[in-house]
Amino acid sequence: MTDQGLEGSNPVDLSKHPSGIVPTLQNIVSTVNLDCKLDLKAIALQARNAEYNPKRFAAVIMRIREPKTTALIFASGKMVCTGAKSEDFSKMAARKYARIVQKLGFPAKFKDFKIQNIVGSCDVKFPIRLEGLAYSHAAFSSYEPELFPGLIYRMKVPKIVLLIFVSGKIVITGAKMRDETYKAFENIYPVLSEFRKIQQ
Amino acid sequence: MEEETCLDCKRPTIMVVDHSSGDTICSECGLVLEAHIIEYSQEWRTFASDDNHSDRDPNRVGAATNPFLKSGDLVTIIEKPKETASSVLSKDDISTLFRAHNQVKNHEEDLIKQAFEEIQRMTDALDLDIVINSRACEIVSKYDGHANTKLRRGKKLNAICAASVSTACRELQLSRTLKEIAEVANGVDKKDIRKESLVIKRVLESHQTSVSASQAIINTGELVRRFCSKLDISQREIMAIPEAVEKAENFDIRRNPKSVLAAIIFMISHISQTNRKPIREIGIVAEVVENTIKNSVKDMYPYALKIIPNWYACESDIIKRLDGVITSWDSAKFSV
Repeated sequence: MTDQGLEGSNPVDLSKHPSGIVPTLQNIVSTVNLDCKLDLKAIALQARNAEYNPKRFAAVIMRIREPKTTALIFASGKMVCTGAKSEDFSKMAARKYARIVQKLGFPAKFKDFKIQNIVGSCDVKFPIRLEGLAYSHAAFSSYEPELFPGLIYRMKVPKIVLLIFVSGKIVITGAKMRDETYKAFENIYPVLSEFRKIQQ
Repeated sequence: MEEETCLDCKRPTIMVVDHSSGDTICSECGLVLEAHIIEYSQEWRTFASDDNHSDRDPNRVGAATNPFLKSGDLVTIIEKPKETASSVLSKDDISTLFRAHNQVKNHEEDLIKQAFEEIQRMTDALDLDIVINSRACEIVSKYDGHANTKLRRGKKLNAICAASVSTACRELQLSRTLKEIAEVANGVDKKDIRKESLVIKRVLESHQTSVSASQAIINTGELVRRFCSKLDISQREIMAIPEAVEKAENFDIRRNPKSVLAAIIFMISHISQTNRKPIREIGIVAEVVENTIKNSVKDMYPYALKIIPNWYACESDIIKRLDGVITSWDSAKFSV
């Protein structure tokens, strides 16, 4: 996993990222309304990259290679697109799926495209004392090592959920805009530094 | 002030009534003539004539016997009619009354009483204090009284009871692991206990009760005392282990806190000349699989010199003994 900010040709914008670390976007979930009723069985039979098992799940699961994404296409015309690495890729992929549905003979449109969730990750590269952090930020933290090794931090502003691991790797989820992810990380970074494990 | 005959003085003396304890005391020699004249049991009031027992009609008065119940446990119960009853009411009338009473009876409190019994059973099984029992009952009572949460019959009731016991333990710094509570909770899963604990936390917050920070997580230090007492570890080791646990928190050991504690117990007990604990015993007490303890010991071995207190063992002893045991494990692995 390449860290975009540090190893790319562009220097990190320190006014926006005072920590010097830029979270990498890992997954974008978006929705779009094709605005017509779909015959899922016909789509599954005609499209090469589609799978449809109505007993298990009531949507066609379709995949494309570039951008590498997965779509859930429902009979109502609603579609969910997951797996993209940026907002533009997500929209591009959703347009491709809409085009595929159009070519199969349905009068598909492209209405109400919306980014629903952005998942980011990064590595602060130092170990973190999760017990101390959970104790000190009890109102926001949920740390249950018997169930899950990470600390679940529910930040209020912006309204983001972070998973913080003892290794220093952070997962940031629940954002609807990229800036929310960056803002959440900049908020948590001083806290992580405060609870850095001091190797004596 | 009254004048009565004192048994010790053998003559009439002035008596003083101590109102705080309800005693009658002789003012000259201090003899207590009558102690506790206050009736502490539940008060029954009967106004029927004494010569006819069938007219007995008891009514309870006084304070609530269970403060967690809304009715204060002061409900009236109509018993099923007995075969040999010779009461003035006929059997049919009592049956009708019994059925009518059942329809209007508050069954909601049946559930909360069932929850209290379940909490009692769990706290007994875990050897917990009566304070934790009371706090858990209070939590369940608040849960039931909240607008958005209600007790319902079924498996979820057990999960709520287990979660309230867990929350009470953590508030009083006497934490039990989720696994320990799940084992006594009649088939409730750890995840369900955790889920209900979060709901309980929200209920307590809305009651504006101060949620103590220690409720958030189990503190590993709380486990040390119990694990060590279960393993019958010597006093010198019991002093060394918490110190090592505290030092270990500063190192990059990516293990579950229970695994870290089990590994530390093993290392410290293994270094001692006497009283070595087999790794299987440590695993049972700490709820950690044997292999996990071995791998944790290997992970922590590079930091062992800094973690184990130097008053407990010198450097060469630590290196020699731990190195030997890790080598023997690796040899056993190769031979498999």
